[in-house]
Amino acid sequence: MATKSLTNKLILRAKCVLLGNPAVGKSAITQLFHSDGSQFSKNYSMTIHSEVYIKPVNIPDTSVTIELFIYDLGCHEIFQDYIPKYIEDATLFAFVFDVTNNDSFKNLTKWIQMVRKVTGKKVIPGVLIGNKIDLSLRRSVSVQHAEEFANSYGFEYFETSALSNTDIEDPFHFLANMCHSNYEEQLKEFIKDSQTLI
Amino acid sequence: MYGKAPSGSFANRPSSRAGLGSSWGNIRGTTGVPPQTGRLGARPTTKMGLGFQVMDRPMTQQGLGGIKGSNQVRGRMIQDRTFFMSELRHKVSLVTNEINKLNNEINVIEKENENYDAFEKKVDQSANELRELQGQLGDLNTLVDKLNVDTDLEDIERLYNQIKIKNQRENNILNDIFTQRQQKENLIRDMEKKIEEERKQAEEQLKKLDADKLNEYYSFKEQNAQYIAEIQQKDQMINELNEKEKTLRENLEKNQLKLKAYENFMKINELKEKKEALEEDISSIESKNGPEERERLLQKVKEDNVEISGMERKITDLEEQISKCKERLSQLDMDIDPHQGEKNSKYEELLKRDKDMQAFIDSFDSKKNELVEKTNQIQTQIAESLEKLSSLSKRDIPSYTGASGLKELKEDLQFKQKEMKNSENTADALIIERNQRLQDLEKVNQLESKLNFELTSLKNKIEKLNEDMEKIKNIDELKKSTEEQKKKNKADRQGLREFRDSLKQEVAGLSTIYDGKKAQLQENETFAQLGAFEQKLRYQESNNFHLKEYIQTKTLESNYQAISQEILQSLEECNGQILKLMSIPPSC
Ligand SMILES: Nc1nc2c(ncn2[C@@H]2O[C@H](COP(=O)(O)OP(=O)(O)O)[C@@H](O)[C@H]2O)c(=O)[nH]1
Ligand SMILES: [Mg+2]
Repeated sequence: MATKSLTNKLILRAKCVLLGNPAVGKSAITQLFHSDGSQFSKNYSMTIHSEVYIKPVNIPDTSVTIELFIYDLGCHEIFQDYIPKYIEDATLFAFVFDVTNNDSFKNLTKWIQMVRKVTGKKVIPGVLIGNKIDLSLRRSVSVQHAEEFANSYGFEYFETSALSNTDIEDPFHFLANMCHSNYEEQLKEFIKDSQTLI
Repeated sequence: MYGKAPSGSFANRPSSRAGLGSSWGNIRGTTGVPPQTGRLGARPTTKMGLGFQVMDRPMTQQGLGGIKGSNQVRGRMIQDRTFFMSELRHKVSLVTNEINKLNNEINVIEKENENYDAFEKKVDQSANELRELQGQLGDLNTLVDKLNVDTDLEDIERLYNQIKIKNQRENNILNDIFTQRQQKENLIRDMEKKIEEERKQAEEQLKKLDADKLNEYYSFKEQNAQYIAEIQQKDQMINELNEKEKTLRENLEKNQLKLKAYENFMKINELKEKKEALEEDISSIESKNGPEERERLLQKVKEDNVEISGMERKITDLEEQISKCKERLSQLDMDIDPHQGEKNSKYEELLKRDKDMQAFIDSFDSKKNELVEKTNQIQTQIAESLEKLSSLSKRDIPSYTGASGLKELKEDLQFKQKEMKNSENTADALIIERNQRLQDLEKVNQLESKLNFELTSLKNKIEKLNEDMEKIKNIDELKKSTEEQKKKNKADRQGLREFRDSLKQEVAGLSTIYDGKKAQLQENETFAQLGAFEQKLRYQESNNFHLKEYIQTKTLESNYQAISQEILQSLEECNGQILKLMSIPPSC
């Protein structure tokens, strides 16, 4: 997971999986983040199986870079059987829903259950993303509702719009920071253990 | 472990997304650009055709036109008598508020001025304290200087010894003075004894005289004793008055106006003294030359009196001036409010001056009266005694010489006593100085202990540094150990390189296997079919999504309910307002 390069730069790698109903904007968010906000398509092109993007994120005030391996999964029904394989060894999760689509919000529990079942963990390191906030007229899921839902699962909640490119980077930066702090904690525990062993 | 740039080997792989539609997903690598995130607005916004824009809608402006005229009518209506009355009342209340505020400020300033005296006393105290502290600071500074210049303890001790010797010398001088004083006292005692003997001799001589002359002598003696007592009383009075004068003069020196008044007062006194002298002259001349001279002198006295009255007039002038100043002060008091900040200090000064003047003026009359009375009394007494003396001198009786001798002795005694006092004072001062020196010595001792402590700590430091030096001296060992480390590191590097190479080989093998599998898959027919189906599905889903979007937007667009309600509401409001306007009859 960790690499120390010659310039004393620590690179941590983390696998991050995006889940959520089809057409909520997972691919749009991922592509936008990966291209630094230059790629967005109005046309819908269903994701087949998965797309992988590698994006380095610098942690401020440190020499650490988190390399996010972002797995943008196709969540159409016919790929359901393959999804657990992608989830298995993932460390970070982002659950995406469309704020104009109530079904996509309701279906979040299904996705979370799936992750819980596959990883066997109750607490999932992840974020909740409400997308398409530019369509304020069509909005059907309130901020308060979504926040309460996120809190009940221990997620941080983010609102984004791929179309207007608002706050796309925030959830990914949050995930990178989470990964970094987890790593630090584990390192500390490891050092403690090794000291007690001696 | 590879330490590779994020672009990595993934980027080199053939991306299968565009061409064949592989079902195993596409993997893209970044181009190694540092993750500068937050470039907003780089992307062209695609805002066309989304929703509808209310601003572009045609507005109906005609419905709102009628409001303008009525607004003007209302404006005129409001400004009637009551409106101006209320304005006036408002302004009046503002003015009264302002007046109250100013009154409060005046009260505050008066209080502050009352506190001023107390503060002045405090200032004196603080000044005294400050002086003491400055003295201490000087001592400490000299000490610090000595510490800074690194004067040895020996130097300080030498200095101390010098001071000690000096002290001793002064002690000796003091002792000498003491002995001198004792000698003087002995002398005085001798003198007194002599006086006693002389008195006895005189008494013996008196006893030889006959009874008539003895009686006369006794009466003269009594008179003489009386005169002496009177003289003593007057001396005391003079002393008291001198002290009073001193204090008054000190008070006067603080103030110029007062000084002037004092000068005038002095002139008066001088003139009075002159008058006294003249009167004495008169009395003496009267006894000798008779009434002519006396009249002339009396005339002179009268002239002097006229002059005195002129002086008094001047004094009243000065008092008038003072009262004028007071008036000006009160004026300034009133003026002070606007320029409070600037003139406050001036005002305080003036007020203080005024107070002083007031006190002086208040006490001036009574003091003057007292002094005038006293001088009058003394004048009359002197006149009486002079008369008596002149009558006595007429009888040609030899004056008593014993009194003058006693007087001389007394003066001598007084002088000696003064000297003794001085020597006592010097002794006190010397004792104080000695105490200070002792304190200094104590301080020096304390400093010595401190310096010793510092010395030990520095020695410890030196030891530590020496140990470190020992370590550094073993350069060979250090070099050896670093060499070993280097070797070990090199070996590690070699091992790791080998490991990397083997891993590379493995990866290459796996990729060839992967490529083979891929080729196999490509050849598989069902895979191709699946790919085609997936493409179809993608197309269908896309259609599906866009249709849904279209439906959603259209239904939203056709949803006129909200807008119609809004418009109805505003229409109702407009109508209500129009009705209201119509119901108000025009005022003029
Ligand atoms: N208005 C709007 N449309 C969006 C937004 N994000 C994505 N879309 C559109 O939603 C559609 C589905 O996006 P996609 O990322 O393919 O969904 P996915 O199936 O979750 O990966 C695309 O046509 C996007 O243009 C958004 O924030 N606002
Ligand atoms: Mg997608």
